Amino acid sequence: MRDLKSRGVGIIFVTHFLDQVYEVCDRITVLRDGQLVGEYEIESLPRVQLVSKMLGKELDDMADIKNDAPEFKAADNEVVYEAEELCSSEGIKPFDFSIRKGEVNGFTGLLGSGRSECVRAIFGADKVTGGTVKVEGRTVKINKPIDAMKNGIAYLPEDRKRDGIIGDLSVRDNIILALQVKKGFFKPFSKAEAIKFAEEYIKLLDIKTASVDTPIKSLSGGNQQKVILGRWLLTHPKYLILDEPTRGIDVGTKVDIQKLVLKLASEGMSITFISSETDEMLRTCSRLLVMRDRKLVGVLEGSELTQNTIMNTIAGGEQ
Amino acid sequence: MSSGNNNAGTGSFLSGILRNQIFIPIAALLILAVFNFIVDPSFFKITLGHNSNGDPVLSGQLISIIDYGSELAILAIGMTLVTAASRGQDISVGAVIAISGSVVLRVLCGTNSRPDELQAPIIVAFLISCLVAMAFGAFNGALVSIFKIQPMVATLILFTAGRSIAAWINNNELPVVNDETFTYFGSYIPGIPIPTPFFIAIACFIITWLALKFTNLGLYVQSVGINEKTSRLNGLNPALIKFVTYIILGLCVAVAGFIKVSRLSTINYSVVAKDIEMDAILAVALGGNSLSGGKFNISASILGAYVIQFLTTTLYKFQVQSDALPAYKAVVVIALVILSAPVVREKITAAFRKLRSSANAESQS
Repeated sequence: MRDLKSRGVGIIFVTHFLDQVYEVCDRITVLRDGQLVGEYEIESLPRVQLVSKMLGKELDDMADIKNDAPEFKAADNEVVYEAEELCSSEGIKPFDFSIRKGEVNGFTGLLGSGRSECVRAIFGADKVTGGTVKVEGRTVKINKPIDAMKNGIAYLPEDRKRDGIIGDLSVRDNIILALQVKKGFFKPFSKAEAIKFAEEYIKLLDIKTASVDTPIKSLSGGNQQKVILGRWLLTHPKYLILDEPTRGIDVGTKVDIQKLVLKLASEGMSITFISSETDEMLRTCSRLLVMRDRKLVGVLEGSELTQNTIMNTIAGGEQ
Repeated sequence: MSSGNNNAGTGSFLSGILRNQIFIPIAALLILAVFNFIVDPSFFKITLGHNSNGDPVLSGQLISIIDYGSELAILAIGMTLVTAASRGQDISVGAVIAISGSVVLRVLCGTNSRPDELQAPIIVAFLISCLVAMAFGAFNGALVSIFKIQPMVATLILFTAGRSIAAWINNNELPVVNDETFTYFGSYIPGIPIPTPFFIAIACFIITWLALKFTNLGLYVQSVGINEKTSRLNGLNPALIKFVTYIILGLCVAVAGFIKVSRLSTINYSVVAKDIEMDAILAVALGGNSLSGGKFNISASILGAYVIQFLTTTLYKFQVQSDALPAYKAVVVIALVILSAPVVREKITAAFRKLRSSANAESQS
């Protein structure tokens, strides 16, 4: 791009990635909710201010998130989900995992480290090849998604387009889908019920859509993500798995989702939160499981939860 | 102000109809109707006469359309579901009609190919043919859903072998059913002047409508057709759902085959329901359903089926040789495929929006 620039080509670069903006751009135009916020020279707009312009909020809001959340007291609560020696056909090493009521934990690691494969194994999305699973103390078999759903587990997948949305179907059908499947083939919701559910979650999650009948594919990425989140919240899960819920969506929605995660956890839901952005996980998770080369290599808690220790564990403890 | 509102109201109503896929078969029907009306208004004449048994029957081109279009309409129901779920079409329906028709005759006639009396009740013959056709549907469905073979390739097997199997079922003989009641299903029930196949098609439509209303068939089929991976992660079993649509199509094939053999009281293995698969697929397309799966509208497909019969009847009326029919239909296919291409549809909607806004501007100035 710099090469093109030196040859006199004018470039308009549209991106979510702030690093790249500061790498290549001279001037920034900020848009929010379909409105022009302003145009700035890059030198006059430090990164923090850019974020606050994008959010339309003062900066402190984001820093406050972690402080809003009460510290999680793990020992008090019952174990909701527990797996021993779980492994799947996707080549992850057998791993142990458990989560308590109201706990937020996360899998971290580099891309391809197997963090997504772990949660897919928990949900039965990939072929489960071994291990024992207990939900609320009862031993259960989870071999396919419907088994997990019946046990009160919900999974928001990493790739929204491929695994999350049913593009041509309406926002309403997309919201009711999981609950409808759980309820059964011969028990369809009436149109009125479906609309009621959809409107409830459109309001709760502040989803911006023209109507409940709008095809989901015409919504923005962030709003699509909220629809899928709404779909799973509608099933009232005990244990919610969020794989990269904030990837490729605007900064404002990211913060909304993080806040929602903490709120749901405070109401007793167990949540696994995966993100490529470690600071996001530090803000939400009370326990981090570190993956390297498809293997669980460490569990970090309490005072260990810092960028440094995470980096070190991912890198293999070498200083 | 109020007139502006009004204008926007009718405008959105118009574009609402335009965006509704049933607009396509309705438009095609209107074009055909207007064309026939201009060329020869007697096309629409319906007369009440008496058949050879002295029973009152309606006759006329329109009656023959609702009569002979009914098998196609019934097939269109199953073909729509198969298309929506498996993103492909079953081209073996004509051959399986030959098989199920052959089964009906075999059960009714037993070993003697020209019995004086029926060897089994008609309902038994019908039910057995349903089972057989559903089994062949299951065969297609298994190839598509379990072995993940492209639908057209998978169904090519029965498309090729079906008519030989049909002939083999009756040892290559042509049984003739000699029973008055049996002919009712393909012609008229005494005292009722409207052809029976039309009632059978309506019954099939009502059953489908009820099934779509009281089960999640529609939601599941569309979900699987649009995004199989997502469907699986929401607890569905895509393979099972595709499999089931082929079995449903098998049932539709059995009903259509039953009507076919009832019309003649016999069967010609190589000719019965020849090329009907192409018409059935065309009906789905004419109904505005994407041939690459996903969202569907059964009513539009059924209407599409009758529109195709309308077209066929019109062409026959203009003495087009039956060999040349496919060429004429091909013109319709070309028009449809181009019209239903997303690029063209967007252009049309945009053009209408422009038209509307300029009309609005005029009315305001």
